[in-house]
Amino acid sequence: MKSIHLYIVVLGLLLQSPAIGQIQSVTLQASGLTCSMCSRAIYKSLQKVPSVSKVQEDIEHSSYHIQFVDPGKVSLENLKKAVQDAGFSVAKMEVKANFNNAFVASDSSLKMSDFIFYFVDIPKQNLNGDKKLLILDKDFLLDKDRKKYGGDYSTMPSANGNDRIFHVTIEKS
Amino acid sequence: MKFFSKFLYLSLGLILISYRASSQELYVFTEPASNMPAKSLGIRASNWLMYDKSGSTLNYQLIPEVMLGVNKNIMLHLDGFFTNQGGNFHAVGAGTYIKYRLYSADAINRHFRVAAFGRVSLNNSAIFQEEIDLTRNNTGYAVGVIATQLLHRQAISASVSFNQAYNNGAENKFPPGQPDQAINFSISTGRLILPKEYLSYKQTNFNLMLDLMGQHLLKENGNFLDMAPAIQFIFNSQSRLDIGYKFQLYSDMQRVAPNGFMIRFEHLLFNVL
Repeated sequence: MKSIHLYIVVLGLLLQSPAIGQIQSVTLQASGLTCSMCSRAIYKSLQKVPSVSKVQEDIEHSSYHIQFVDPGKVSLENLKKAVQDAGFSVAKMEVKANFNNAFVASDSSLKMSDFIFYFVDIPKQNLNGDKKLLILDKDFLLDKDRKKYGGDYSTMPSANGNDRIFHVTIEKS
Repeated sequence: MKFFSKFLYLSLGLILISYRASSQELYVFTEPASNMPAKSLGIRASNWLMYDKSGSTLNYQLIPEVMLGVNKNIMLHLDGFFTNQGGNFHAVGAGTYIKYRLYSADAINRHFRVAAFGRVSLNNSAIFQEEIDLTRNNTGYAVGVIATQLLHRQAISASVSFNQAYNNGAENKFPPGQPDQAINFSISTGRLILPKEYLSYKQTNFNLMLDLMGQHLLKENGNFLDMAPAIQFIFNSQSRLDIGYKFQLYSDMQRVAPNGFMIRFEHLLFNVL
């Protein structure tokens, strides 16, 4: 039932909303590794993802800051798959995006590039400037952290079949 | 029983050392449960310098190996076996090793993995020992499982496999009446010593490794247990140099050259397939 509800919300949104945000960069943390050879395998795998222009690594924390040639063509699924192909998992993925007076609240959504962000557990607010969105879907966040947000979220195709819906929250700073 | 209590005692000791200490799973004499990255290619040359028990000669064996990360779940090794046995350096066989990921649970700086593996080897050497060794001496196959736990700077693995030997090639038959089946088992641990803090992929890594490897012959009793400490350097997060010494702790079976050094070079090429 929940997913049907979500489809209706998203379908409504698709009909009325132009893109009101722009992805700037992605920061991800990988899990399952310590050594630099493993870290380099992920680094090399991320570099091969289409549209990635630059990857900056923090080996000690297994963390990668990723920038893009064309942020409009970013595929978060491909970034996740690159980490998995290297033999590891995504522990956390944050998308930094620039907003211009975008109204959001829990259970509202925004379309950005080829995907739709469905907001979870946030107060009503207008987003302005750069914000970091934490992806809550399965395989994008450690299970123990996903539990904090109360749902068993997973990415799904939107009603039109072209976009993917990601569940996100804005971490309280 | 004496053999197994010794193995158990040593294994427990090894586990305790691991927990007290903290790369770790790039074992020198055994394989971890983890696979290599998908679409990567590794090349490896293992040089074995083993002391022959029958005399003062040194047996030299070279095993060049190509390793392929087919996808994130499957990896494949193709290896050749060369030896100076009989005085001249020559090829004696080839083998293939496949590993399949069965289970993987990742957390920050940790993982637990289980993999199944299989090996098929063809070898033309003459057989002078009871030990079944599918990487250096026997034609046959092996199937087994490996589990690996990584805990930050320390990794520990255990494996068990079933080994079946057949007649070797070049008219070198498997000795009649000698057990042709064995169970192999191993416990391995590795610890990342340097660097203390990672700043760059160019930092050289230094690891300490310890493998404990045993074999139990089926049908007729026969056992051995070897220990093999090793040091490992990883350069540029891409190339490896391993230097290890393997020695027999216990054996009640006939073996030709259980003790000696192994020196290995390995280089990994990312995203080439």
